[in-house]
Amino acid sequence: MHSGFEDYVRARGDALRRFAYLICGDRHLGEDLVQEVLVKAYRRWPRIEADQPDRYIRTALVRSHVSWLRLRSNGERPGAVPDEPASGDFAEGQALRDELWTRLGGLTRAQRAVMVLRYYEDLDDRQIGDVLRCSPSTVRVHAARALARLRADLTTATIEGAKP
Amino acid sequence: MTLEEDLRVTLHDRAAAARPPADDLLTEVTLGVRRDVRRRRLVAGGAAVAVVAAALAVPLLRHDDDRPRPLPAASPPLADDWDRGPWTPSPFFSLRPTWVPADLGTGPEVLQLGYNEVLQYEKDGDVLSAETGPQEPGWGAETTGEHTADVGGQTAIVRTADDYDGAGPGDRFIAVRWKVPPSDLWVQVTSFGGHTEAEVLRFARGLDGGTGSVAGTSPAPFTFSVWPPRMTTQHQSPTQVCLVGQEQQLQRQPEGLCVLVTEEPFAPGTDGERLTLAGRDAELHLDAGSLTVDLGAGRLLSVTWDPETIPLSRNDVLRFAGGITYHG
Repeated sequence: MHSGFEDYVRARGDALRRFAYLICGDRHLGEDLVQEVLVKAYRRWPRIEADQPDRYIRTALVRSHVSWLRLRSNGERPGAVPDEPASGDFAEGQALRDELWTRLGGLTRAQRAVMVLRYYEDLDDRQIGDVLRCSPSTVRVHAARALARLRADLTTATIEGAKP
Repeated sequence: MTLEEDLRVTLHDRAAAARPPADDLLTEVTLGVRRDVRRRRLVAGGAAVAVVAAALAVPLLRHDDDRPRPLPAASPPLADDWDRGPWTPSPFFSLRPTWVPADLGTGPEVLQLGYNEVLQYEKDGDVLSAETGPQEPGWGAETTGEHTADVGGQTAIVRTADDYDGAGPGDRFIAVRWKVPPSDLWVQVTSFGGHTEAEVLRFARGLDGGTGSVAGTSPAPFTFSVWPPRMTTQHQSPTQVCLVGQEQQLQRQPEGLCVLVTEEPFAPGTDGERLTLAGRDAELHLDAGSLTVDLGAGRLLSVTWDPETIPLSRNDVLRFAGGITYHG
């Protein structure tokens, strides 16, 4: 085993797991995804290590997950309620974020990836396009549809929640 | 907070709260690497057979180089059940406005949002629209005031805001929403700009069902010559048309197989398939569901689809896109 590869996995493993969890919305699927991508990356590690390994692995995680060929079962659904009850404004904010996390599960994989890359990784549209292998205009289309879908879903959820 | 800010906080909170599993990642990956090495050694034993198969496959698979490739003169035939045109989708609005503020003039646009129909007037930044259909419309802005009004004998909710994204001095947001018996269809009139609530209500009360329509006032800017079977329009606007399967429930947001024109230069990436479609430069990302065609003059035609729900082949995409005529 390359020592550089071991050092990289030790140093960046948890960050990769968190990113994969956001992309998949499922801890187990995210864990499988990280392992699969790292195993494949090992084959070409000397070349990857010489470039930008974080960027390479992040791109591989997204592409592997978004690819329509990667049809895997997804048992766990995101959106678990918080463990500790909260109160006041904090509770309202937490409830909204729980609802938002659940609604992210209703987006297509590409739309969800755009949301994570834009709002978690802070990438611009061109960088996201490079990851997803599409043009910046397609990224903007994905983003606009995702945000519109989330707004509509949250509005519906608010109305449903307000019914007696 | 805005939705975008909430998203940022939500994603960072979730990432921070994600507890790494008890299994050591390096141990799991090391085991995986060893399994991978063993599997590849086994596969190497069948390499002779694999080489022959790969050689046969090269002419079909090798299209990821940088050279533009014209469409083949004789494209593979479509499946027999593809629909054929020419077909120019024309959205339909089933209520007739009997009064419109004079400054908005004529020539409204008609849009389709899922099951709903929209009639929209726009001039100098002012927008006045009417939406009707079985799906409850969205308000479209953060509102600060709410009261009721009578529209054709129905109680309507009126929501207002003195500010919204893009508002100029004196601009207001006003929306009026009610249901029409006995169909229970929603109707909503929305105004962004300088029109008063009295004008918005007069426009709303003048919407006359059943005595005509303004159908066909804004046909889509695209004509299709072929399209996948059993699809129907899900979204139509002056710049975009989306198709989905006829059995699919329609959302208000654009989705499905969408054709869109945007004003931006063609800037292909490094790893898409470069090709020439009807004489124009194009870039295809089949697994991401994206085809971008350079229309020239700083405009792009984008065809997007969700490969999970609409699994189009490369030939499907190129025949569909190659049969689109843009009238813009």
